[in-house]
Amino acid sequence: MILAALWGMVISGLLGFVRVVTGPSPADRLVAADALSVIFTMVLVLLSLYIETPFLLDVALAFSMLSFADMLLMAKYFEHGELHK
Amino acid sequence: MTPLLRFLGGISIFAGVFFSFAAVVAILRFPDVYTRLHGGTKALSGGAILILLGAMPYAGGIAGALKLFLIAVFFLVSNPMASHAIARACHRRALANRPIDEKRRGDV
Repeated sequence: MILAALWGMVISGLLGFVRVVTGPSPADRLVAADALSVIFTMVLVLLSLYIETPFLLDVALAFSMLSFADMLLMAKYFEHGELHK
Repeated sequence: MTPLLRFLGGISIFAGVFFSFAAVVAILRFPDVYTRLHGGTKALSGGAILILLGAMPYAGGIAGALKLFLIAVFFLVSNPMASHAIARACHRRALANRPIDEKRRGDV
C-alpha cells in the first residue's frame, strides 16, 4: 500500500518535471521546482516507511529546510538581480 | 487502536497522493504563473500535510511520529512564505511575461 502511494508520488514528480523543462518563463520553472521539492520530500518520507529506514525522516526534514532557503534565495535573486542587497 | 489508526492513515495517505497529483495537473494545465503558483502551493501543501499526518501511525514509534509532525508544521510555515516570495518577485520584476490569451479571456 505504501508502495502504491510511493509510485503515485514518483509519477506526479515526473509529470511536474515536464513543466520544469518546458516552462515558458523562468518563473514557471521556479514554481514547478518548488512543487518538485515538496514532492521529493514526500517521496523520501514514503521511502523511509517502505524500506523501514528511520534516518530518511531526518534527511526529509533537512531537505525541506534546505529547499525553503533555496526558494527564498532564488526569489530574491530574481527580484533584485543580485543577492547582496 | 493501532489497526484503526493505520486504516485512517492509509486513507489519509491516498487522499494526499490524490491532492498532490491534482496540484501537478494544475501546474501543467493553468495558463499563467500566478494561477500555477495558486494550484501548486495550496493543493500541494494540503496533500503533503495529509501524507505526513497519515504516515504517523506507520513511523514505528513516538520519535518518528514527532519528526513527521515537525515536517508538517514546517511545511505549514514555509510553503506560503516561499510562494509569496516568488509571487512578489514576479509582480515587481514583471517576470510573468505570459498573460492569459485574449481568446481565453473572452471565455472567462
